[in-house]
Amino acid sequence: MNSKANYTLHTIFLSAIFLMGNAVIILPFPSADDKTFLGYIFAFFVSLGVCFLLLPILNNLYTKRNFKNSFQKAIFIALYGVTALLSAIEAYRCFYQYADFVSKTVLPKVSPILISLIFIAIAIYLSFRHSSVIFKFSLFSFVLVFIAVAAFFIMSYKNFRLDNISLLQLPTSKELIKQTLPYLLKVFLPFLLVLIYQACQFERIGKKQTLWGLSLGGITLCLTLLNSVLLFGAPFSAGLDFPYASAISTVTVGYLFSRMDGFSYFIYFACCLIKISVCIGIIKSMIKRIFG
Amino acid sequence: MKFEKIFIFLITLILLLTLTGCTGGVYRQPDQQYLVSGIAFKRDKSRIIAFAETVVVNTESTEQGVSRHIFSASGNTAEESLLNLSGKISKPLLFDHCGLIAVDKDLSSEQFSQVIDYCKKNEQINLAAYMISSENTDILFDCEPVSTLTVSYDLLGVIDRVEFLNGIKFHNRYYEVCANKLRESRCFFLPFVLVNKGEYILSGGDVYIDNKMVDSLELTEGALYCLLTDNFSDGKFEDFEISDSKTRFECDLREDTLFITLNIKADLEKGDYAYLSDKIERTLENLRGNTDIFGFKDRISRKYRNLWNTVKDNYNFYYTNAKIEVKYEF
Amino acid sequence: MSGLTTDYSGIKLSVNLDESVDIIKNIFNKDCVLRIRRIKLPDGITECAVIYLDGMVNNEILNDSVIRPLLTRHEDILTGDIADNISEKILFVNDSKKTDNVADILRAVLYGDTLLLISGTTFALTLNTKGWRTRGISEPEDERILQGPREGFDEAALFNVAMIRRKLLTPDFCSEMLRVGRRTETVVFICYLESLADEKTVSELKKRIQKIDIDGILDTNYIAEHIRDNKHSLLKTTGTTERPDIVAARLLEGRIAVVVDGTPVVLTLPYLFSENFQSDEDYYINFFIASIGRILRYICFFAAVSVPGIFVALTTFHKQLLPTSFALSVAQLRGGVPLSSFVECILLILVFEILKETGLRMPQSLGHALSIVGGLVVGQAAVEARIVSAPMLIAVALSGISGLMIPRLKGIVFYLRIGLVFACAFFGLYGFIALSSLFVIRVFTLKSFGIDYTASLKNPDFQHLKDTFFRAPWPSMKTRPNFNKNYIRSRGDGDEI
Repeated sequence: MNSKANYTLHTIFLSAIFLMGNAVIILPFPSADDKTFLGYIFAFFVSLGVCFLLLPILNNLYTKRNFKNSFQKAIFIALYGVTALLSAIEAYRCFYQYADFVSKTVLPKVSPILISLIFIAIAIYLSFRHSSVIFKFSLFSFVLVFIAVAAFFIMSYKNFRLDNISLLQLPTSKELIKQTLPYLLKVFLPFLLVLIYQACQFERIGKKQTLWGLSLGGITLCLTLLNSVLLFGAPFSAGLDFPYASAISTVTVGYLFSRMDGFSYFIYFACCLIKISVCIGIIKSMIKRIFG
Repeated sequence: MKFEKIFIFLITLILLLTLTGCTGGVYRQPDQQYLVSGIAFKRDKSRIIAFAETVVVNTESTEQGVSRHIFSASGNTAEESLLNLSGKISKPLLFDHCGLIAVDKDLSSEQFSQVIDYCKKNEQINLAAYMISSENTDILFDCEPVSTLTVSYDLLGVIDRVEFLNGIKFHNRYYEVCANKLRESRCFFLPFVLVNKGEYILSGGDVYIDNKMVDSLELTEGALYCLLTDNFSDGKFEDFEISDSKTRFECDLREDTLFITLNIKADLEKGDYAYLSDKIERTLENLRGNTDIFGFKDRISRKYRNLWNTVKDNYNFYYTNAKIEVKYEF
Repeated sequence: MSGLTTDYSGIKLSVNLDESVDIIKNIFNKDCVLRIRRIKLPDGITECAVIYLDGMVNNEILNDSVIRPLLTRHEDILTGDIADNISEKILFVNDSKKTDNVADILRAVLYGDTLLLISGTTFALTLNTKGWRTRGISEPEDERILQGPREGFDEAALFNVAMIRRKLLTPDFCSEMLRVGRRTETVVFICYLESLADEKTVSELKKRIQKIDIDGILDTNYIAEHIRDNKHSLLKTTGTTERPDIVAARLLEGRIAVVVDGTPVVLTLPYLFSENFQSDEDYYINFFIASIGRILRYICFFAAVSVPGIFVALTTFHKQLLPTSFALSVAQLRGGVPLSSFVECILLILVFEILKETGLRMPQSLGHALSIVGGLVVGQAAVEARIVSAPMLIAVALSGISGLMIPRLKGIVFYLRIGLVFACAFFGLYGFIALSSLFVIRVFTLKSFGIDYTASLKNPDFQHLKDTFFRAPWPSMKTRPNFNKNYIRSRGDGDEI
């Protein structure tokens, strides 16, 4: 009865917010120094290349197929199993970091088990809805998240110190690798999971969605990274538990509005919820393919 | 559908069974706590005395409204002294609105570190709280506030005002101090507040290196110091009015000697150029000493990496013998 | 399924007029408004009985178009079918049906038609003489506007359908009649534009209505609660209105209207979430002003559900997020209040709701007294007595007033507001965000007759969002909402987009 929906924009926003996931809570990594921004940029471009190289392979592997023989079937079942496992690990990591944030910052005196239960319940609820719900929720959330991130970046601008990031001094290859590797492994590599999710939902991974999703997510995450690093400097922000939330807490608008870190609660919630729901969605799809 | 209903019912039941927040035991209403507006630390030989300026709401009568109370306690560490302070009063302290952290000039490096560490550990204290230096931290809060409820909030306004009028950028917020401590120079500049006959005056700034106060500057000297360290925004001091200032740092190593050039470019809207440049030179000579209080270390390590690798192990030697030249573009 | 409670299929009319009259008398034996008028036709042979329910018929039509011609007109009625002859040659009524089915006869008489029994035939005539008294056309109380049509439906479904038809002068307009309710046999009209409405939706709707097994339908809501997709959802998935212009506008968008006899409220479906924020006046005033109103409604919805909860969360869990001066002010004004913020908030919300409901239902003459009680007692005395605090009172009042801006969501606003207060009292802002997310997910999940409740977010481009958060100018409103890909999307030249 409904006309066919065009989910291109939704997929882009879903990919962007998935990329942000739990990374928005913890960036910059503890090993960050003033070269961290260059490391991030380099990691972004490398991952862009990797995604486009792997796109046809992922398309081939994760779209529904008929198996030629039982050996091929076994290989694919193993692949699906590994994918489900990796999704579960990523979901757990994301969930742990978010629960850690809530129990330390938002509700320090409330039982972490209770907080976790609520969050897991909502994530399961979302992941068991029709996929259009996740896409619409991503559309709705990313718009708000992006506006909040951009607004805080602009409001923090007057306190930025540009010498906190070294742009003129190019790092050595050893320094660059040291800064790039954590971003590649912990932020951009898990992005492949959302491509797999696309393949499960639409039977194909769109190039446009991949490019724009990665770019938008990368830019938004970059803004949060820059916000912390330019404000606090890389060594100090790397030593904080939740650098971006701390950065937002220093923003003041006039004399009335200060300590606006309440907005970070929403940003983190939305990013982590969608990431975990997508991971659960992948696990569901892989289980269906293994046993279905 | 049935599974969903059971699931939702179970979750609701668990939530209802674990009521929190409203029980009042853990989380309290704002009128049930003392709101701390500022904390101060003074050295007492090997101990630290902590002072807390609080705002107390009179819950018995609305006529008396809010009032200010100062509490103090001592301890072996900053954390212990504040714990002892909390133990002395009837309601818990709310640090979420603490805007000022005052440190005594005489605090040892270790004691200063304790203060910094405690503030970081106490997640209630905002990272944007202002830090100041004073030699009268014990009587600082005894002054009468002029424009706000508390001396602490008054001082925040005073610091902002001085920064706006005199152009001095102290970078004295707690997170800025911590960030500066992690730089190569470990140097930071705190506003210095003097208490005289029950009145507080922001009379200049103290330069700290490695958590120890190394130099005390008056306002004019402080402004010139900021010009030299590229921390000056539009402002006036003495007979001068300067805007759009920018200090470019250049460094070279020739024959084992550091040649440092500071290019100060600014619009001198008022005042004599020759007199100003003379003052800058004299300030440079006075403050130079054997310790790099200008933070040139940071500049060299960021901008001249190879040079820094050469000089870093023996930097004090190179600094002491460095030729520093100031060029002006007014 | 609907039907008369007794099975009349075994009862047949007789050629003997007296026997037929007795059958009808026995059926209505305890009904004192039944009237029987025996008439002998001028031919001297044929006798008739005019049977009707007093108060249901238009006496003028009955006298002038039925009884007078029967008594005065001399026509040959004995050649051929006597009932047909009387209907075609004698009577002046605009509609007559020949039937021998007793159940149909009873339905007709009960609905205001007049029954004409004729001697010498088992067939009877049911004549359109409906003339029950109605309220007349007046502006609906709950849907007042400053600019635009002011007609409103009344309780007669036939006249309501006529009012809709007057707006849509096209043969494309369809109205199908059903009867629902075992005892009430309520007449229900399903109205739609054939070229725009989805036939699957229409047939699904008819199926659902026919499945309703209930003794009586007295209002549209009886049907609404039976036919909706999610029977236990707080959000309504069927629209209601008392205005014919609104019904016509919705039919033009491809929706379907359900007109129920006995109530001025008409159902329209499918119904989207964004319609809750539309006002009837939005389309009759300048689009700038309409858009401001619409955005204001979204803001008011957010304020209505969130403000008390957020206030409780900030004062209990997250005092650092309050501006310092505000925190001090709250602390000072709260001083001495024995209740926690949460209890205070719930109490005030309940009091506000009681005042609101009382204001709706009490006589107008007592309205002043209520304002005084509400204002002075709750507003001033309670605050001075330190039972409640002024900031909380302001927060709840603001939330209450904001809620009045969106009358279509009044139920959900109340439940959501209470739910968020609980969530914030237990888990602070985390609880607020969690419950809000759950609500948003729920809204995204809902469907209204197979159409996504938030259909405009499926394709978030201008043409789909032009009538959601704002109202685009009429020249830009080129397309209809996309309920059915097969029908005509363009409002203009009819070409499919």
